[in-house]
Order: sequence, then C-alpha cells, then structure tokens
Amino acid sequence: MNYSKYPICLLLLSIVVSCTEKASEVKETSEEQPMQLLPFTTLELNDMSGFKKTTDNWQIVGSAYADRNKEQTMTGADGTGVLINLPDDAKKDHLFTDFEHGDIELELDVMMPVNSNSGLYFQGRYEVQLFDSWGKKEPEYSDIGGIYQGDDKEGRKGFEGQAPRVNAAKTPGLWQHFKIIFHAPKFDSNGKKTKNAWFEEVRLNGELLHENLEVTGPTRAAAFTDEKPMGPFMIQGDHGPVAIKNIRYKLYQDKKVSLVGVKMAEYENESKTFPNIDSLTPIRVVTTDSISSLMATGERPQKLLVYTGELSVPEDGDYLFDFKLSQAGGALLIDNDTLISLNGNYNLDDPGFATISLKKGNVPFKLLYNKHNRWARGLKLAVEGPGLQKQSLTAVGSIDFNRGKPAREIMVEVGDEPITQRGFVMHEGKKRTHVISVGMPEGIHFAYDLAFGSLIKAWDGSFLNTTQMWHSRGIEQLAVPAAFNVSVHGDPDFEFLKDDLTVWPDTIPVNVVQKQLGYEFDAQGVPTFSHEINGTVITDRFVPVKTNRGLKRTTTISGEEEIWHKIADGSKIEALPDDTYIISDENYFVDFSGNDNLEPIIRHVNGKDELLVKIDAGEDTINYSIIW
Amino acid sequence: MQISKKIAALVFLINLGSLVSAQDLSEMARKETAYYDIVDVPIPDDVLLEVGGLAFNDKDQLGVSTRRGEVWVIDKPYGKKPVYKRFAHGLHEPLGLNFKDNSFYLSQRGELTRLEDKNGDGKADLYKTVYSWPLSGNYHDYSYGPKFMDNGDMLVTLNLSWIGHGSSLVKWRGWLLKITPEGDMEPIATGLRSPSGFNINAEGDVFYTENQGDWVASGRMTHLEKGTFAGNPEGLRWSGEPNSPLKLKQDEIEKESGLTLYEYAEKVPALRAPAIWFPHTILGISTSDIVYDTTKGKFGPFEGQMFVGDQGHSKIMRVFMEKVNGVYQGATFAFREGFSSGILRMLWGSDDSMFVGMTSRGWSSTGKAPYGLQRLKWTGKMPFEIKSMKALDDGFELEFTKPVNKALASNPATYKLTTFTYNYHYIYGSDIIDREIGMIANAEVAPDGRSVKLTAHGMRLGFIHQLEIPELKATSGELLLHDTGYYTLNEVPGGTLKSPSMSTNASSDKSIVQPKRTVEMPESWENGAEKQLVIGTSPGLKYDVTEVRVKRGTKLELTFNNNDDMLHNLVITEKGKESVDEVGRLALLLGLDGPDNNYVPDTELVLNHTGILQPESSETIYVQIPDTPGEYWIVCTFPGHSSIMRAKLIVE
Repeated sequence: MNYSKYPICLLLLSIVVSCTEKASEVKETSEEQPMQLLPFTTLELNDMSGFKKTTDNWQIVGSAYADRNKEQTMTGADGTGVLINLPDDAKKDHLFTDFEHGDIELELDVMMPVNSNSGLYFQGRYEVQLFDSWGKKEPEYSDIGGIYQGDDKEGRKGFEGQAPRVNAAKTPGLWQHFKIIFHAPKFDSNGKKTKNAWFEEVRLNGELLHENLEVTGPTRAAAFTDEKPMGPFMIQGDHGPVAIKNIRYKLYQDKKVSLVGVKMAEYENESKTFPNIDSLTPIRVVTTDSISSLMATGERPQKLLVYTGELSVPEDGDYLFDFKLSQAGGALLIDNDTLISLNGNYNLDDPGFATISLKKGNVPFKLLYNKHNRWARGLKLAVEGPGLQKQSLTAVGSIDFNRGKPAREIMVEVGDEPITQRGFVMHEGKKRTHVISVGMPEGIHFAYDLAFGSLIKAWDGSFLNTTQMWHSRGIEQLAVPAAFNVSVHGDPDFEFLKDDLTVWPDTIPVNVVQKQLGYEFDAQGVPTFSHEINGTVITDRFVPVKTNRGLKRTTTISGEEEIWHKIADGSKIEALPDDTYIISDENYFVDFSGNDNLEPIIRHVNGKDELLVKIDAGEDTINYSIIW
Repeated sequence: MQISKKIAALVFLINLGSLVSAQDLSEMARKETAYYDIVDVPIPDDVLLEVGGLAFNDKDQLGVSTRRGEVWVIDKPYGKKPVYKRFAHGLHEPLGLNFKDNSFYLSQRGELTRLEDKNGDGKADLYKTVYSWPLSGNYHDYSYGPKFMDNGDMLVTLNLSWIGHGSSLVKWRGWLLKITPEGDMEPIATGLRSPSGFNINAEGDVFYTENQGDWVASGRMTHLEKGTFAGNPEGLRWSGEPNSPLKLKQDEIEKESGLTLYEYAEKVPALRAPAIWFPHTILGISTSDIVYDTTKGKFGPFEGQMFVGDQGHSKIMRVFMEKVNGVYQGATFAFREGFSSGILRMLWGSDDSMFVGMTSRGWSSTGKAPYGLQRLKWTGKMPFEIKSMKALDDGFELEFTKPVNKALASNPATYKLTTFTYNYHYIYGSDIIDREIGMIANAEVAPDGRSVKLTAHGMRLGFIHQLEIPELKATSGELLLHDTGYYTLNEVPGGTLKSPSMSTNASSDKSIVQPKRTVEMPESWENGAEKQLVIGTSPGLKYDVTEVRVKRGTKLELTFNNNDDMLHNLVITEKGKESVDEVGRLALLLGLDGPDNNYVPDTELVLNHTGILQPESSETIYVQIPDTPGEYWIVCTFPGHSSIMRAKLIVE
C-alpha cells in the first residue's frame, strides 16, 4: 500500500485526526497490508542465464531430493526454480553470478545431502561455509554458517575463521534458510583499504550465527586473492552436491537520507490523541540536528514534540518508512501529506509502515511524537530506499528495545531426568496459554498445548528461556524454546470429521466438549498427557528418537466414535518410499513406519496439504516420529 | 499490587496527627518485637522460594508453592534446620496451595490442579487437572486458591488482566468460582480486581481483600455471596452467560457518578459495600492474605479476629469484624510490621505461630528481600491494644487488652474522631474525600477498666471512622501499642444512627450574636491598638506559642492565623486552669449547636474569641486585656482540641 496515493491532507495539525480516520477507513476495506520491507531482487532460476558460464555440474531442476541413507547423494527432478550442483571428477567448477556486488543483503534456501560440503563466497572471496552439520554439539568454523579460515600465505596470517554461535543445522535433505548482510571492504581514492569487509548479520533458520564480524582478507579457496569494492557472488562447486533456491538480494550503496534544518517545538499534552496545536503555545522551540524521544523535558513528562525540517533524499525512488513508538502516539508527514498516523496509544509491535515515492533533493517533513504516557519513552523512525540500507533517522537512545531486560537470561536446564515447565508459548504469531514444555536429558525437547491436546513445537539443544516469565513482572510471560525449533501445525490434533473432505478446525468446535485431564509421570520421569474429547480419551507420550534428531510420539485413543488425527500440514507434503513423509515450510520428516493398521492420507484443503489418519472406534495406538 | 499515584492522600492523612510516619517505622517494629517476634525459616541458597501458596500436609510438613512453578515440602519447618524437598515442578505460577486427602491442590494460572504422590517417593507423579479455565495471555492473569468449603467444594479467584486498566479479557477473569472435586464449575461473584487474599469464616461466609486500583479507591475487604458484585465492573462482561448468578451489565455502572461505593450500592442492589476499608498508605498499599485467629489464645488476645497481610508494606493488619443488621463491618488496626519481603501468604503452624510467605518480584516491598519465609510468634507478653471496636447507634464501644487508666479513658478529649470516605469511579485509586472532624462527647469506662463506651458526634454511615487515642494509658502506665483504629460503618445497631451531625458546611439559619467575638475595633480606642500580636498554629494541635506576656490594660489587636489543615478557633479564658478546663467542657456540651456558636460556649469564663476558622484563614479580634494580672489562657474549643491546644496568656 502506498500512502501517497491517498488524497492529500493539509498540513494543519488539527486536521491530522480526520486524515487518519480516512486512512483507516480505506485500510479496513482493503486486505492489503502496508509493505514492511522494500522488495528484493530475485535471481530467477528458470535457466542458468543469471550466472557466468560454467561446467555442467550446475543445473536447473524442479526439486531436489537428498537420500538420507547415502553419503553425498542427491537427485533432481525436471522443472525449474531449484539450482543443483552434482559434481564429478570431471565437472566441478564453481558458479559465479553475472551481477557483482559490494554491500549486499542476501537470502536463500539451501539443501545439504548427507555429509556434503559447499560454500557461499561473497565477492567470490569471503566464505560462509555450507556443510551437513546436523546434530553436531560444538560447531566449528568449518560447520554450516561458519566463516571459513583464510590462507596463511607468504608469511601473512590469514583470517582465523569464526564458528557460528549456535548450530542451527537441520537434518540433511531439508531446506534451510540463510539471511546474510555483507559489507564489502572500503578503499580510499588511492585504492588503499580503509576498512575490512564485515558480515553485519548471518542467520540460519532464524538463528543468529554472527553479528558485525570483520574479515581481514579472503578466506581459503577464494576465487581471488586481492580485495576489491565489487565482485561476483560465488557458490563452491568442487566439494560436494548442494541445492539452492529462492535467491533474492538487495544491493546497497554507501548513501544515506539525512536531516536538514530541523526545529523542534515542545508542547504540554496529556491527551492520548493529538491536541489542536493551533490553539497551543509551545513551551520551547529549538533547532536540532537529531530527533529523539529524550528531548521531552521534565521528570516523567507528558509532552508533544513536533519536529519540522527537511529530509535530504539521495536518489529518486520508493522510500519505506518504519515508525515505532513505545506507548505513545505519533505521525509522519512528508511534503505536507500524512504518511503515517498513529494517533493514540501505540506500542513497539504496532506496525507503522508506509512507502512513498520521492525525488532526489530536499523534501519537507513533519514528525509528531505524543509522549502521553509518563512512564514510557521511545520513538524510532527508520527509512529504507532504492539501494539504501535501512537506517535510523532518530538518535541513538531515542528508543531502548532492551529496557527492563535483565543482565542475565533466566534459563531452565535439564538434569538427569525429564523436566517440565508450563507457560505461555508463541506459535505462529499467537500466544498459547496452556502450554507445557518438556525437556529431556537426551537434548530433545518439545512443547505441547494442553488446551488443544496438540504438539506445537520440537527442538534440540538448550531447553527453555523463561526470562520473560520470571524477570520482574514478566510482562510478556513467555517461555521461549532456547534453540532453533520446528513448529507443528498447532490445530487441535484430534477431531471428529464428517468425512475426509471436512475442513480441519483451527480451534475446538463449539459442539465439542474437550477436557484437560492433566498428566502423570512414569518411573522414567516421562509425562503422559491425557485429555477427553466428547468422551473419547486420548493419551500422549513423547520420547526422543534414539538414533536421529527427532521425537517419537505414542498416542492411545479410547472412544466409541471414529476420530481423525492431523499429523501435519504444509504447503506441500510428499510421501517418500519408506512410509516417511516430508513436510514443507517447516521442513521436517514424519516417519510413520511403525503402524501396520493405519494408513495416513494426504489431502489438499484451503491451499495447503494435510497429513491425516482416521482411527476407528474402540481402542487404538498410533506411533510415529518427527525428524528435523 | 499497583504503584499508587495518590501520594497526596498519604501526606493528607499523616498530617492528621499521631499516625506512624516514615522515621518511626523501625521504632514501631522494635516496639512490636517485645510482643510478637519475627523468626526466619532458613531457605537453602539454591531454592528460589518466591512464595505463592502455603499449606501443611498431614505430616505437619509445610508445602510451599512458588511463583516459579515449584512445590516444596519442608520437613521440620519450626526448627533451625528445616529440610526442603521438591515435591512438584513446572507449574504455571501457582498462587495458592491447599491440602486434602493425601493431595495438594493449587491454582495455576489456567487451572485448578490436584497433585498426588502415588508411589510415595516424596514427589508428585499425578498432576490432575480438576478444572481448567481460559487465559488471555496477559501477565496479570493471576489465579488464586483453592479454599475448601465444608462440603469439599473449592473456591478460586481470578485476577483481572492489565491493559492500562483492569480488564476481563476472557471468562471468568474478575470472578470468584466454585469448583467441585469432580470438576463442575459455578461462577459465584464478580467485581473482583486483584483478589489475591480470600478466606471463609466459621459461618461459611467468604471474604476477599482487594488492592487499590481502577474502581478501587483503597485496599478493602468485601463479603462475597452468590451474585455479589464487589465493585470493578470488568467481570460483568460475562454476566450474560447462562450460569452467571447476576444479570447486571457492565455499562450500567457509571464511570464517574460522583458517589461513593456505599452510596452507589444503594442504587445497585448487587453492589456490595466493603466490610472493611484499609486506608491506602496508612494500613498497607496492597492487601493480600486473610487468616483467622483460630489459636484459642495461643497467639495472644485476638481469638477469632482476622489478620490481613500487605505485600507492599511487608506488614500485617488486624481486623475485628462484627455483623450488624446482617451486614459485616468492623475495625482494622496496625498489628506488626518489619517483615523481610512482600507478604502474600499467612498460615498457622501446629505450634500456633504464623508462617508468613513472601515475594517482592515485580512489586517491590518495604522488606527488601526478593522472597522470604518467616514465622511470627507471640512472646507471651500482653500488648496494650484496642482489642475490639464495636459500633453503637450513637458511638463506639471499645474493649482493651488491659485495664485502662480511668481518668484518661473517661476524658472525651482523649479520643479524636475523624470521618472520611473515597470516590467510586473508574480512575485508579481516589483521594480521601469529605473528611470531617467528629468528636467524642462522652466516655464511660466499665468498672473493670477493660472497656469504654464512647458517645460520638459526627458518625456517618458509609464512612471510615478514624479513632485516635494517642494519650491513653493502661493502669500499668504504658501507651497503646497501636493507638488508631479505622471502623467502616455500614450499619448501626437498631438501624437508626443517633450520633448528631458535625457538618460545618451545613447551612444554618440561626444567626447567633456573639459579642465577645470582637472583630471590630471598639470606637473607644481613639488612638487604635497599643499592641499587635499574631498567633499561628503548629502541627499536632498546637498554637505556635506556649506563652504570651502582655501588660495589664493593653488594647491588643490579636490576629489568629489558622495555618493548620483543620478547623480551629482561639478563645481567651479567665484566670486559672480550672477556667480553661471548664470552657472546654462546656464547649463539648454545645453538641449540635457547636458549629453555630463557633464551638464557643456562652459563659463568663470566656473573655474574647475568634470564629471557627477554616484552614488557611485568619481573623483579627480586638482584646481589652484585663487590669488584673495573672495566668489567663488561650485555647481552641473545637471538639477534642481543648485539652491539648492551649497557650498561657500572662497578664503582667
């Protein structure tokens, strides 16, 4: 949604309110949400045209399948959209993109076969390692997401390598998501390096692996030994098979939006909505070179700050503004047009995004910060533009995202036997309130929604971060899995369906009486959960899979009606030869091989695949494992 | 458990006189130690005992549920080396605990749970859900209990969520629920905001304490019955549910009616005025648990009374309650302060000491420890206390723990009565409003010296009656340990209040001529006044002078500047102490006629006087000083003041 399409509102502040109302009316009738990021450039994988010519080990395929039982074995299926590398002794060259880059933000998905090895080389020089590091306890620089060592040549000590902070690797054969922000080295006019290259951020499967990590020179097996402002992106071809898809990026220049001639007027205001400023006299007007919530004066002030001035815009193009407030109101007007209006009480998680097309040069702006809550302070305005990385227009300290956070995180650790902890747990953006998290000594953990009787998450590594529950009042009250985790569908796991076409309900239907019965620990300290649905009693017990990273579930059903169980859903579910299913999106396997009498079905409903199994009336047991 | 904005209220009341002020706190705690001793129950370093609930099992071991979801069972909790064993873990902030039939019962945030150790290894195996209720996901979704009723059914209370104000985001936040052991639930009462403390008395009646907040002017205790609406309308959101015991709708309650809760309850029958108000900042800031003294005298002289904890002030209040015309009401007194952390739970040990369980995480308390477990033990020494305070239709009857000094106790001036109340509105807290000075007209001491019957003027239904007795001594010579009581007067015996009104703002048609109030300079003073004098006030019922010397026959221009925060006058009386005493006595006898007479009796013993002056006002009178030298007196004859607020006028 581009707010500049809306009718222009007058700059008069007293009219801001009515403009807002209009905007929100439009919002309600439109399902379109404002963009939260400017679009990426996609490297199309319809053919090899985006790459420099290379050997035939590099191909475009429709999908990739890694055999989980064989070393470095991968096959591709006909189609487009996936880049696959299947090297042999003769054909094993690297792959270079046609485009060259300096500063870049890049995202892609990668699939590693068992024990395979490859690498992502920024500018053809600085490597983020690709490796099948699944299950490794202490990752090294040579594991997936590690920044590889540099060569130690001519007496010059190369970069020493950097291990990822955590091992976020998924099991071989699953797609894994990388997000990397890389900055090229900087040079003066004589070509002398003034700043090392650095990785601002490297994330794998959502986990932060590196932050602001400097790299002193090219890493081992780089295509070039020198350092340059620009270079092609390279994928290593000679170490093993790998598949890659969804490559998208933004190239950044070293330019910024800046503030010009800013004045700030400060008003007394206790109202949650904007007052009619025409009728008010400011208590002070000052010239300033920065915008900050800290400029509201007084002890625990309730003030309205109005900034006016110009933005110096470095390039023609679309600019996306991101306005964040901590229990306050605010508005941004660009060129006399209300771009963002948050007139009321808004918090950090309330979106304040808008995009506007701007010309190079100076454009007037006005920013309102209505600090009506005396206890809260916080304002952030950030902007992203064409070839411009997202930057803050507000001063350091204007907002403190860490406010109230403790010096040390509060963790629940697992000892010699399973441990449980009830709490609120987020699942796909929703707070689940009756969740029990279970940590097991084997290092496999899961979260179970007692209200729905459903498994919602599984993970391995550290167990649970309860800082948000147990620090001070614990405003968020969240128990957070302390490691990369797989989210399962989260709907009630068992339902009575009229037939196999009935839509699976995402909450407990009104005609169903579902009762939690609690849980009981056995001699091994493992809990078995029980609940009752319209008289049918269901128990659930989970233990780690012995040989793999996975969770084995045993469910008993005792009832007088036929009932259905939803095992999984995803954009795509595929049956593999060995009674195993691969679930897309979250990317995990379901191994259903332990059940002789039950036959799951894959059905396509409401744009997604579902894996269901029907259980006849009487007593029954289901066994399966999920593996990630 | 919210922080108060109403600092003003504190300052206001402290100025009333003899209340405990900040620098006295430790001194008070020291005094109290002689009678009630606080003893630590040692806690191992690795146990974070943020107490949520306390309950003994059938082996006299103390169960403690914690805010971090554990249940500890403490063996030998009375000794110096208690043994801690973790009975359960992983629970969702259980803020209550009980024990019955070999099981601990507790409220987690989202359910009532029974914990049973089936294999006898000292750890619960079975975590049985008795009944679960929805949660909004808000941090303020606290749940408390259970308490057992005689038939084995359980009561739990559910806190409102907090979204800048209290809110019942899901069923049944803000309600008292009854749940059978089989898991059938019945909603009983609503209007609750932060109901962390509740209990059932010997008659089976349920009381809960409330914390100051939106719709809650101050800490209070309310009697809950089926269908009671206790005051915060958020829970009424669910009154349309088929099993709701009341049909009152949330929008039927005006946000700012300008009325008090007592007055509003006369309009809305379901609304129940509190049995006890705990004036905010005076008797706590966040009331918590309620326990009844069931020790049969082993804990001191307060058998059958209630003790109420306070989280923010780390103290315990005492409540004497009575039932008048079927309505619960009574008085509350300070009892014991100086605990180590914020008090959430209290429970009697088998030795009749009181276990006090504490936490201050998120809501800081006077006791600085983040959590704690202590015991309060009676030393066996009898404190001199107001044991009970009962309402009469024209006064109060006090009973003391020790015989009183009859001379002091029979002097009405020994007692100071002030009435006040609070607004009932959606705003967080309330100022003290409609404060008025009452007076004790007569005090009749029983022959045994253990009780006094007070006849009071200025009692008001629906008001809190602050009675201060700072000078009263026992026959042993000691002063009261706690000299102030707060009685919440909803009813009087017989139903008709017979205490005369003291309202100064009630307009009177009577125009009484008081020739001795000489505000005009006599025409005979051709050369004007020979001397000017200004007398002001000091806090604590004092003039700012204790003695004034004037030459005989002086033409004096005397200005009385009432810079105090209450009503005063200035009366010059005849020579001799007996004259001023008599004027004070006669002033009290004016009764209802007092206001119209500026509380000045018509007697030869009065030479000159001012009118009754509002705070921050002054009046000048012209006084012809007598020709006879001697010790004359200056006195304030406002009820209750004349014995203290005096200065000598020495004519030379």
